[in-house]
Amino acid sequence: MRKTPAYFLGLVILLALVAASLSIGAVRGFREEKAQVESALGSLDAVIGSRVETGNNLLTVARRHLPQGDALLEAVAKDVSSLSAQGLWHQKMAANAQLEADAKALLKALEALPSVQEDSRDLSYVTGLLPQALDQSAQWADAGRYNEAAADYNKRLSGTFSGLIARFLGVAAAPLFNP
Amino acid sequence: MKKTLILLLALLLVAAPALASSSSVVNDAAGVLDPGLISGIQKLNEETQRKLDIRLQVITRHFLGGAQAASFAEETRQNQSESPENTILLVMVIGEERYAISMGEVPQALLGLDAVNNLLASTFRAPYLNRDYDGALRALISGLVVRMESASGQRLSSKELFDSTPSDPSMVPDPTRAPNPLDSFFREWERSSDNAKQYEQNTRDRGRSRLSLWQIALIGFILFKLFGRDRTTGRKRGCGPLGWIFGTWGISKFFGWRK
Repeated sequence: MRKTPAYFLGLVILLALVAASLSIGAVRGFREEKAQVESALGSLDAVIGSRVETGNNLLTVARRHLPQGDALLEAVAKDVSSLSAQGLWHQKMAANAQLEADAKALLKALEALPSVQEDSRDLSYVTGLLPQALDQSAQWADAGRYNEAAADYNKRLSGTFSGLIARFLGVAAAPLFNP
Repeated sequence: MKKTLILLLALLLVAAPALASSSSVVNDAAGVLDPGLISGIQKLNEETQRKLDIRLQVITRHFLGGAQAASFAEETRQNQSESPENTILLVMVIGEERYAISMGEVPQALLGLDAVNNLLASTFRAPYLNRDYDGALRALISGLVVRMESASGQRLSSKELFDSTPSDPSMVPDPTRAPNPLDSFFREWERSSDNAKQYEQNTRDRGRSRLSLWQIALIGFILFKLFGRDRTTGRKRGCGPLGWIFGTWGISKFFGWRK
């Protein structure tokens, strides 16, 4: 009977230690994972630069053959401008997806122009180098890969016991960019 | 055998700088220049380096991705030239119909920046915009040689290489001549490619495997078997198996070993 208070004290300390190690481990583990997802976002930002370059190069060729204010030209210019903006991730990702469609439409329109058909250099750009670069930069800046990584992390954060503890203690979910 | 190998190695070491320097004089990434002209510029460069300590460099690219040609030329000369202060670097951006020249202190002192800009405007610009890239470069180099000879008093014998007939101005840039056509499309192909690889790696290395609950239970049980019983008496020591399992679980959580 005399041992009962000491026994309960020991039990309380044990439970406290288990709870502490659970919490610390959960927060540490998920913070590390979140940092990895964030560094993926950072490297995606670096790769987005190649999309901006592709857009600029396309605009350089297009402006030689299309008038200022042309709808397709303006659309690609707007996408490039959004991609170059600092931060505003949702806007950037939407522009990244939109650039693909707008750039392809612009290339198709350019190829049909008589002035491009008569210009062997620009025709080679419009039918060869520009589509190739567009595809390459799209492959590089595939936001889907980031989304997969972020979705995986979010699933573990909300679907596991340690994830719930980490969320309770302030570890946030990673942003997803679905167009 | 040993002597032959040493001799070959010595020859390679002597030849390597020469080979390296000749290949970086003209970087025709856009594939628009005549190989004969490139070879002539390389020979002239060897002579100007020897007699005047001036290095020539020509870069052709299709696009610069929105960057200014002048700042690209300046940065390239500063960062990529072997001796930036002795270099005259000409950048020809074919797809953007732009060009720029960047000069180090030594050629600037000898030739004068204004004089070279005038040369560009009077001899280079018209054929360049007319897409006669060989003709434009030939005219500019000839003008530079005349200026170098009059400023230094030295004769440059390689200038005869630039008196040949002009090439066909309607020549379409041949992207296939470049080893990687996209190299002259992006401002810095290698950096873009490295960034892409980094991104791929960052998205691939996710959710690294960690210990599952079953693995932790097994480890805890094994530890109990190893340390939880007195070997001589066979009696339980400290906690039972459940205690060892919980302990292992706690440690794994603390160190982040758990999935």
